[in-house]
Amino acid sequence: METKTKFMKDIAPQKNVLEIKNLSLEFKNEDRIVRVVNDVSLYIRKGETLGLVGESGCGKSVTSMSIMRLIDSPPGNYPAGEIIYRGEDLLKKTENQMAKIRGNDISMIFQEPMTSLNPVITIGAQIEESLFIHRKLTKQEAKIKAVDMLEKVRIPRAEEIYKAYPHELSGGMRQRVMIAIALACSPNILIADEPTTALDVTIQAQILELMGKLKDEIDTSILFITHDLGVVAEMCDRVAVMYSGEIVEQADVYELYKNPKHPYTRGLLKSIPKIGQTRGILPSIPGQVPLPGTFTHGCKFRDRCEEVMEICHREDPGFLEIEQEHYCRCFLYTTIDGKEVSSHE
Amino acid sequence: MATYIARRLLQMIPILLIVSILAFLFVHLTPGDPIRIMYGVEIDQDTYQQLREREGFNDPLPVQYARYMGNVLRGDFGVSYRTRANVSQEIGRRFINTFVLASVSMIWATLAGLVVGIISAVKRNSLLDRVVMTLSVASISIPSFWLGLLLMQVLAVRLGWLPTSGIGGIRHLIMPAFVLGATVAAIVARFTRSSLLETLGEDYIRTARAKGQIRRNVIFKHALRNALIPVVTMTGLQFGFLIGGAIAIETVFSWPGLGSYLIDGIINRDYPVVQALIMLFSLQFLGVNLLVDLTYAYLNPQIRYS
Repeated sequence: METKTKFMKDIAPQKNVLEIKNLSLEFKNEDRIVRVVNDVSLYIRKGETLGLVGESGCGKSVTSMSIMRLIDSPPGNYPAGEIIYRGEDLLKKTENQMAKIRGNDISMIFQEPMTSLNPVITIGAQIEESLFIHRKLTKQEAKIKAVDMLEKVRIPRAEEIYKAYPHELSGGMRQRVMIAIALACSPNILIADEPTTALDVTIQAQILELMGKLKDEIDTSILFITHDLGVVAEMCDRVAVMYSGEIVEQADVYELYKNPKHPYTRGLLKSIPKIGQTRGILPSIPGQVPLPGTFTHGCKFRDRCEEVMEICHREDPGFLEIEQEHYCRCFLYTTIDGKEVSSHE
Repeated sequence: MATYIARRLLQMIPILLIVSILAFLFVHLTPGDPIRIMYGVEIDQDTYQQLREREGFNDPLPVQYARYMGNVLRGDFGVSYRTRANVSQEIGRRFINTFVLASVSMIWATLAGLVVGIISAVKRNSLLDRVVMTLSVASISIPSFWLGLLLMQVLAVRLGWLPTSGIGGIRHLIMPAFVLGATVAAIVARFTRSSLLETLGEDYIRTARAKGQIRRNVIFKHALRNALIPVVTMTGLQFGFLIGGAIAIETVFSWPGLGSYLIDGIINRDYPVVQALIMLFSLQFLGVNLLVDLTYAYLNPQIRYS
């Protein structure tokens, strides 16, 4: 667990709007401590979209909720790591300090548009809320801004919808409202936690297109969490692949698709069906994701890896820059300057 | 909304009609002879038959029912077999006593239940939460008449702080209102707690926090209104049971209300009294239900009645 990742030093800090350094998150239940996020490091540059990819339960949602500090403590606990925003560690902020950042500097939209809006409050009032909190607008100003936001997310009859309740809207419309809420205060970072997973495909495409447009309009960076590699290719500038609580590979999106390094990433990309492919069984990665807390040391992917080596059972692989801006957590590779790959320095 | 209320009021008519038939049959088909109750067991057979004829007990049941309902619609519930007092007047006189007792009990129970429930949910698993929730189990489990007798023994007889029974003023009201409301308060508290805890786990609570809303506003602006929707229904139902509970408590504390009137009526086979009160209690229950549904519509925009 003493893995150290040092790639961030090379990046000029002013270009990054957010940096996560060696973040670990543990949940404590009655008798044991389970580590669900381990040594996660990533950065988001101004104006870019970073994709965070992984299967269900790999820790991508809890990582994003950690940035917002929406994990209650207890049961959550951060034994190590920093989340740096504007030169300050968000993990050291009090609840009230965080409240000033949430919705204002960093916003979030969620996977469940059907249940993420308060059923007894009008759409308008739910959008205005963050404007009252962070911008101290008057009622009149807030209303103008809220209707404006509804138009921005391409909701027809914005004046009418302003007065409507969530149950009168479809899932796609509700997700648009969620986007309007999240972007009302023009945040620097938008965290989108599987925003299209619950929607059908045509609506998905609309929402993704909308997010792409609004990103440029509002000039925000996006952390886009998904398990859909097709969506990543369309939306993201860079990608981080997560497996069992760790980031195993991080690279530019073209680089990652063309030149995947980690055996897990390679397996994932192989399992995407291609148009024109002859029929047959789709390749898949054998085995199952280990339950959190199963492994205490060694590579977490070793039991499913085709290229497993003896060292994978003994030592934790470090997260290293193996090529320019291409990071990987695997003993198959050495660092860019040819140094020996080892987590113990 | 007005049409909805009108429709609901119209729907109450068949229900009340069925209740009136059941109440009528219930008292007329149970053993016991009203003539003997009214005139004593010593009267001879001839007089007995004459009286039966005069009071209309020899008519077929449907005829008796129709005659009775005709009178009821004019506001006449007949006279008590035992005291020959006008039932409508007696109910009018006693209604205010029960109304005061039930209202005061309900108000303190609801307020206390809500406050305790909210605090318990917000400070979940704290010492306060544990103590209060244990007390509430006790309060639900203890029969109210026993709690009444216990309090009477301690506060009235031993310590002499409060009058034992009867009516007279605020001091007379304290014990019966406390006992009558205690169960309701405990149920409301537990229900509010669990409902609020459940609501606090909803996705839209996370949304509210993600907007930068502070905890107090998350609880009071976002969670509470949603959490109260089921609490309202449950509290309304409790009000119905509270009317039932009043029957025992009024008897224990000699409170001259409708509850003790009903008990007297049942013991003495005083049919007009029992019949009138069964119908009245049903009407109250229906009224409370309507009130609950209207509150529901106010709280929950998904049920705006058309």
